[in-house]
Amino acid sequence: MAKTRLLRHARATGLAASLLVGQSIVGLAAPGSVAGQDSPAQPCIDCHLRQDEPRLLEPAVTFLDDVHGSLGLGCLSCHGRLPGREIAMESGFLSKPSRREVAGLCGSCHSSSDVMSEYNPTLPRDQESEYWTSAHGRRLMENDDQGVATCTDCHAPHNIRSPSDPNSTVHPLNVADTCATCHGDRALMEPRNHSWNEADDFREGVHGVMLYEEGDVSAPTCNDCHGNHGAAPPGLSSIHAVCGQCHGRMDELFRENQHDRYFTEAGLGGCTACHGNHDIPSPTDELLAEAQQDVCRSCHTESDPVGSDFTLMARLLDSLITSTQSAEAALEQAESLGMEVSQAFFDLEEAQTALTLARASVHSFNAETVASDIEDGIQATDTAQSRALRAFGEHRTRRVGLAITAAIIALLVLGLLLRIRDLDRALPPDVGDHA
Amino acid sequence: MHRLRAAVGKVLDWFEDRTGFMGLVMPLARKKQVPVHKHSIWYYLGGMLVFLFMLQVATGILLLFYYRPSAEGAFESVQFLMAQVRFGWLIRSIHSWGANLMIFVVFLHMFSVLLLRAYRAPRELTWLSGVALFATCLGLGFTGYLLPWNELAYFATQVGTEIPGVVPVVGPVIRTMLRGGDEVTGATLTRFYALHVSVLPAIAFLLISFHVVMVQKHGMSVPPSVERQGSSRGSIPFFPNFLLRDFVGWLCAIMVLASMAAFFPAHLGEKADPFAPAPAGIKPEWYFMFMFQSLKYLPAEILGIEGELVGVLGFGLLGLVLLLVPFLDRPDDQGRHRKVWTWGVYGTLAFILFLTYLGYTEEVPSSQDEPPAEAVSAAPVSIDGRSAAFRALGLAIEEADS
Amino acid sequence: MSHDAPARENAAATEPNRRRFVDRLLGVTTFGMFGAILHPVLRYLYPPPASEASVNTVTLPVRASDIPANSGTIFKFGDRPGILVRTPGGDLRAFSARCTHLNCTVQYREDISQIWCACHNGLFDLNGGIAGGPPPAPLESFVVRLRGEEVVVTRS
Repeated sequence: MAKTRLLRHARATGLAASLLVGQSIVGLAAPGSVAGQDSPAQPCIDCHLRQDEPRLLEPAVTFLDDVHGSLGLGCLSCHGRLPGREIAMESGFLSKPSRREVAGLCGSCHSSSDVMSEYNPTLPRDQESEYWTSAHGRRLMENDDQGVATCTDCHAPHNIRSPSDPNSTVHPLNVADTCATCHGDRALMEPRNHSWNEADDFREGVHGVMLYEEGDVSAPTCNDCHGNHGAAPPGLSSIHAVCGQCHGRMDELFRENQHDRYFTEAGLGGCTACHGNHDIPSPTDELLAEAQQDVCRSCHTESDPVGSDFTLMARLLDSLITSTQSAEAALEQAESLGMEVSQAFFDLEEAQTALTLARASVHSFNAETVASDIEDGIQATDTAQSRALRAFGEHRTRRVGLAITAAIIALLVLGLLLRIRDLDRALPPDVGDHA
Repeated sequence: MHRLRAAVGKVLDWFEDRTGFMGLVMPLARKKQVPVHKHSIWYYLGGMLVFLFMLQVATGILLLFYYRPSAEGAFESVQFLMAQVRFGWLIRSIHSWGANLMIFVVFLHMFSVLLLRAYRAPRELTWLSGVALFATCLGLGFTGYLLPWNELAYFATQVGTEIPGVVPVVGPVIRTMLRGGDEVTGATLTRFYALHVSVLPAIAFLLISFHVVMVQKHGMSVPPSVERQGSSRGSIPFFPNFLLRDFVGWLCAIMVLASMAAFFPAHLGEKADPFAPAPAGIKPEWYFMFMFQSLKYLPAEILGIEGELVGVLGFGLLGLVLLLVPFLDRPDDQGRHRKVWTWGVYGTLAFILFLTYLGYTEEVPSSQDEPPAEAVSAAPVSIDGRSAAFRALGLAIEEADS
Repeated sequence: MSHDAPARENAAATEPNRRRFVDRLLGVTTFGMFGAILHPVLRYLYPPPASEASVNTVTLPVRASDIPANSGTIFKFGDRPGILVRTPGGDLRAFSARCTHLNCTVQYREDISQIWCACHNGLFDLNGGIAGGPPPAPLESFVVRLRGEEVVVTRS
């Protein structure tokens, strides 16, 4: 779909495009050290724009937006750099690197401090070496598996963009799609004993929802846990460290109580044992009960007293939630009576913070740690409750005050009416009805 | 007790010897008589209004102790007043409810005068000052509504100041003058504040003084019907018989306001956010409802003239007729007044009541009932920026719905 | 009020006992009425204990000397939380306490002398800048001034 649109666009604007491309690339002929060859790119572009076959047309059109293109690098910067495979225009032979050659070709610049300092000094120089340690790189190197990803499978060749560019294949919102072109393809994955539903699972999990539905690009996507150039599934013992990048408090508590080690020994991956990996559900307090029946029981047998600790933690969380709700209800009632309780509402937010901390403390697997957080929260809800009570009291006081005023006014009116009657009686008799 | 009273009497006498004030006022007060007949009840409304005005001045001054007239601080200062200041809720609620009660009594007073034809010669000037007072009270209500700087007031003011903008040539100038700029902003707030606490009360004070002096000069008007039937049952002295009855009424008013304050304290709502979309169900104060509602029903164009303009001019004309009632309603040779005026007044009253009723019972229109947005934005009104206030509001409601 | 004159005027008209009762009633209730009006008005005029808060300035309910070094407290600034920090060096600083990541309320960590968000391990240094974790932007910082022992925080 995208390709056909691109083609139509290219044909319609063929002339303009070729002019533009010409301007941007000719004259900027790839800088000596990188290009290796000094031939301008214009002849390649010109000819490719006249091609009907998408495979041949596309590179000429999309290269305009490529970071390398915009830095002034031309076609030969890559295609003319394989020793002994230089482009020979006359013979019609074109150099296309083999899959095994790609990483090395990119690395010839990207691993070179000299070149990178000139073009993009902040970019790490170890991307290629990382790649060779990745599951992809190793399979390619060791098993000569031609189906694994190499640089050009994730970074669209001829249209490589910065990860911050929303159109980039490696922009956070596109990473899962990019990975899924292979990892969602059953035909590719099944023969390699790999599952093919991770990307779909991820989209349904809490991080996917944050990323796609709430548009939070700081939410992690595939590469935040698996790495990118060195992509590999984290080992069982390092899962908590990966999650701990963001969920630091949980990681800290988890490591402190040595469950990490027990979990690894039992073949359970730290965080994932309870939370899953790709389709991580938004954690609820029920998880505590579920985990207790499920994961915990694989080590803690029925006779193990630790079960009561779990029940206690669940109850503690529940008690704070309930008391927050009842404090909120009391304040809302006070508010509906017209009392001003915005400060009390504000202070009640502390209970919410305490609940967040207590939920983190569950990862200490120690009811006492949870209890101390809950205590802080209960203190806040108690304050809110007493504020609400004070507001109710104040509301009652208002009505008492009103009643007293009413009594005074009634008596005063009575006195006035009596006086008026006396006065009217003293009037001359012709005034009959004293309205 | 007796000694105290004697001492107080001595002090008062000392002052009286030097000022002669009571000697000036008391004969006037004693001379004043209030006729007694079946319509005497309406005589209480004027005194009630004087009392309510003084109450508004007193509570208004108290509010000034804590209020801060700026877009940044107004809402917070009122919130502070309601939450932290002892009895702040009471003062503000009484001021707010008192304003409503006062305008209600103004309406009653005006319609009773209209129906009993108390504006007859030689009381034309009393009537004119009364109509001016009516307008001043509405102005006080309108300017005061914005001062807490909450969401509802903000958008109601936005709509309200849009209305004069429909008038050709002078309209936009008036609107800009009112708003202190092109939009309702903090500049509008300071303007409204100045009007509400100094300009309008000063005008009201002068008008009330004039009005009362005129009433004093001409005495209470006896309705023509009572005069004809000779059904007057004489009169009672204003002082003290009538004044004490006034006190009873005032005390009742205090009681009503205190109860309203205790059971339904004045709302504050959310702070105004000029960049937020207008919330659904924006309503003006109830006394502007009939105007708001009738402008809503007007078609976009009447005889090639913008509908809102027709409406605004119509209300302007109604105001002019109201002002000129004493000069238009001339009795015939036998001193009889034409019935058509009475019917006109009843008709206007019915119109006001009916449209107010509609305004409060009408469902907020759902997006299906609304004209398509294109049709609205294609109307010339919107293009030149003088967007018809109420249509703009309709759109806002639609947005809030969807 | 005004019951003296009529009382004298009608002295002959009504029996003295009743009249005296009405006089007393009017006297006492008028007095009560003045009380019922003056009491709330005077209470109203006496300034409340908490100083006024506005969007741009807030006077905190703590004394400057009561805040220990290397500590932080949450305060209400308008309708949002702020955090007042006394650095280990003794400076008082204030920031918005809303984490710029997902609006959780941040807290001060004495052990690392940084501002920390419990939700996703966001860390801010004592200038409000990002020191780690997912926050996309630094914390908004406020101006802290001392008026004697009062701590006044102002949005700059």
